[in-house]
Amino acid sequence: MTTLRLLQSPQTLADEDIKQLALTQRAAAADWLVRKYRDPIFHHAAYILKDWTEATDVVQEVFIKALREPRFFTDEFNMKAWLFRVTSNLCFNIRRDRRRRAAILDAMPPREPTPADQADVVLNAEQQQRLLACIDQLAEHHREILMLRYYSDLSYAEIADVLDIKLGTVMSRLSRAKTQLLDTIGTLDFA
Amino acid sequence: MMRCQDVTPRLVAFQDGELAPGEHHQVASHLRCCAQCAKQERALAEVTPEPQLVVPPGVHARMALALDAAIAAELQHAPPATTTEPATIDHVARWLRRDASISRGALVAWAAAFAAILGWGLANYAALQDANTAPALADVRVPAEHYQPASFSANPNDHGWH
Repeated sequence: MTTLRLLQSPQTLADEDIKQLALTQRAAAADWLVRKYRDPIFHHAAYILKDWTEATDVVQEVFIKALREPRFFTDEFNMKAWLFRVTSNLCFNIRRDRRRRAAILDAMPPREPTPADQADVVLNAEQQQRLLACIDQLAEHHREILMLRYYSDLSYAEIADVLDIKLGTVMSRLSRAKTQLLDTIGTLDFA
Repeated sequence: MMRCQDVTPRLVAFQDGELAPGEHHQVASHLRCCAQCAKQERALAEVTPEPQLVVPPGVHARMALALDAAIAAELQHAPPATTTEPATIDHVARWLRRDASISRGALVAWAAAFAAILGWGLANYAALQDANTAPALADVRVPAEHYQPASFSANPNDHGWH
């Protein structure tokens, strides 16, 4: 790698360059990988979990898994799709565990969440806050695809890679998710 | 011209700019003519989340510190790699792909063409070998009834002197 490339921003560094570096300097490649994807993965986890501590734990687990994945730095491996897919899976597993715990501990007095832990996802206006509440009520596969598209700003092609589905399925699933969101949020007459 | 039932499932992709140019144009044309679909498109636009994550001070720094420590521990305990240098074939493949900007498909096509040329050459070489071992003209035996000397003439008065 040239010095010029070493000085560039992690976000603009190509995945191929990280893989090339991993051939001879695995620690340096891991460093660049973390710098490039740490914040997007953290934000993606925070949007789903709405808890900074849990999101931090998920980020650590995702990158540890990445370094243990034998194929991770190979030519044909899609690093970005894998990172987001594993992050989504871990986050939704945590949410399901929360719901199961809540059901089991229903009789016990609820623990007050620590204010510092709560991830505030602020939306632009009141109807956007209602949107967020409605998104939480959607089916998991609809919620997941909306978050990948609008919260983590992935393209349709990237979402197809993350979810391992066809591009046409991404289009139809997003269309149904937004239609479902429109029905859930009630009648909003903006005409 | 697209119909409403073709346009409706494409509205979200239209808003996200993910339709092919031709499809985008067709949907846009339909929306200019169809009030019902245009209203649906506006409603879907209003339910497009525009989130802004408010990260309290220190959260990113704490997350980064915890992550760096976890990664360092993982790399320290990782089993040593079996080879530190990639195989020569990987070097060659990478050089061809990176410096020559040759796609994998092009490499396969070149390899197939090379194999075809090699096969043709070997086949012709075998044929050439067969030709070299063919009997000399002098060894060709002509049946007596087919034998005609070079001076043969059908004219009985032609004694061959010219």
